[in-house]
Amino acid sequence: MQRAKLSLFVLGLLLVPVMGFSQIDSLLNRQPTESLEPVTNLNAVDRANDAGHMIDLSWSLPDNASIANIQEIRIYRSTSPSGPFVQIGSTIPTATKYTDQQDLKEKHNVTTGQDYYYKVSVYNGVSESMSAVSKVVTPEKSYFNWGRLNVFIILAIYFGLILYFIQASRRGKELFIRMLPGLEALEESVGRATEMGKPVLYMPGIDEANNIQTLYSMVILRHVTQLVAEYETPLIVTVGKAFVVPLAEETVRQGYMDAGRPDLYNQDIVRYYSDEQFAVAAAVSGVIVREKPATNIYLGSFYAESLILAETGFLTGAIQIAGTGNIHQLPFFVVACDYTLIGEEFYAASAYLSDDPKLIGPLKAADWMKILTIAFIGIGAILETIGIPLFSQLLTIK
Amino acid sequence: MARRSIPTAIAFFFGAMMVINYFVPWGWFSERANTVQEWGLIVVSFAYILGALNVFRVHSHKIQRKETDWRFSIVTIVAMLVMLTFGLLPQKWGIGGMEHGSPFLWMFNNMYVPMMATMYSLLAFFIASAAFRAFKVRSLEATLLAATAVVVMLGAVPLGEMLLPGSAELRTWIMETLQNVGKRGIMIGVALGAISTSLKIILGIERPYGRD
Repeated sequence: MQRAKLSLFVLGLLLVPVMGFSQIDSLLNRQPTESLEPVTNLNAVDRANDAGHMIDLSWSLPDNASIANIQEIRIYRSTSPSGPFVQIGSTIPTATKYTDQQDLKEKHNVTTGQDYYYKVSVYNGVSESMSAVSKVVTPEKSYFNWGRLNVFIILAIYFGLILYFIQASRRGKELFIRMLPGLEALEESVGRATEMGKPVLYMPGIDEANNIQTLYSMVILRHVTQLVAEYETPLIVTVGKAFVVPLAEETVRQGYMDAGRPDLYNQDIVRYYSDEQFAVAAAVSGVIVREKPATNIYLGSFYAESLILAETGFLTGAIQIAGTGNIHQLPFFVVACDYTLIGEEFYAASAYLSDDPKLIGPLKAADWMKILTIAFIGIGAILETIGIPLFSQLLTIK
Repeated sequence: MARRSIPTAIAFFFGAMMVINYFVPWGWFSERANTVQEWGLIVVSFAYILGALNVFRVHSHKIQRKETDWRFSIVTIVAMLVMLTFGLLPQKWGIGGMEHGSPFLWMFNNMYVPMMATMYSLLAFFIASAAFRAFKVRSLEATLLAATAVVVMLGAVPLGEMLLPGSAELRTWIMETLQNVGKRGIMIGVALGAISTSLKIILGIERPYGRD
């Protein structure tokens, strides 16, 4: 800022002999000479499907010559058409929309049921030109977001299918699940670790506990813990988020109790390293190289560290089983691991391992939902091709 | 009975609240849902204490028992304590705080960040070794994979377009059409799996928490 002022001063000194003081003065204090036209077609509408705290404004800008002079567009609001109007915000000169919304941090209110009137002005740095007053708008709260009705219906169908197949499975209906080699190999890999007298390493990804993959990985960890407890094989659980530590500790403890071997549990099984991605990658790679687990199981949400871990495990000759819903990491796991649970297979693990009807039902429901999705995609593609955008309109979330 | 039903009821209550919040914009729900999410943030910040205790416990046991490479554990604990101390000291003391010029930020920028970058850059070598194995031509499928990979790689560099004219367009088609078809298929399966797993957890059918 100081440099800019200095540059202007030097420039002024240089211009004095050329232009004279009067001309420089008129140049610096030049007023915008063009007249300012106000915005037109000001429209204020209550935002549909909200809690009654949002009003959408739109307007048309004046012609191009006038736009060039605009520095900002100012928004004014009043509870009466005759005013007083108070400025509630401003926006860029080219904007044609603005949303007036409640912001409790800024202590700005949009009260449900209150009548509001708006004016929009264009400001050129010196003066402003005010638009006509908008029509009255009264924000109202919605009790249901009708723009998400399509999601609600699809979820209701899916939930219905899940509950139906759970009941069907409980009644004894035979539900077929295809073989998943990665899960078939789980027991064999733990057995191999036992024979070699080496530990099994389990990593539930590096995401937080609010990620469904991390949460589901805990379900599989419990099964794995039961297996290692039966074989009395050492277990190492490496964790990449502090919040997952108590969850993993409780899961492992419960797994040993389920297997009737609470004596095998110790507090050093679950090891937290860091919340930082590559610090965890370095630490777990170190564990793999130093302690040489015979089996590495990576099940959860992984990112760029996936290949570092899987390749390090490959170099030590461990059997590796991986599974993730993060599709960009799947090729890395497929290349470097012996078995990979691809996408949805990861979520099938507990049903596959436990054979519990309550868990198999949702798998069949997911299969039927996939059939419905494929049908929707096929019919939708045909309809779009012949110029009927029915599905794209129906399935748009507003 | 209570051991099972109370955690299930809590999981159902909060899970259902979040689902309802997606469909019901009514202020009462969104305010409570936001409050619950804020609780989550507070609990997460306390979890860092548990995390630090876990690091300290695991590595001090290693040192006590003089396990293999136990000296690395000393480095870990010392590094943790040094960072923690400089981070917690008040800024007015001149050596505390996390502002620009503080020892904490200096160590973070000049030790921690380069080490992280080093780990990330190792990925290039791991990709090379993994790709070498992946593109071994052993079967018809592997041959197709290798041929596709060659086209995609050639299409990504100017030299490739010179050697194989049209490879850039072919690469774009492979990436945007063939690859996307496969990717979206997997994504749909993942989404359905995530939804059904969430429902199982909310209903207490699947329990990654508590005891049976």
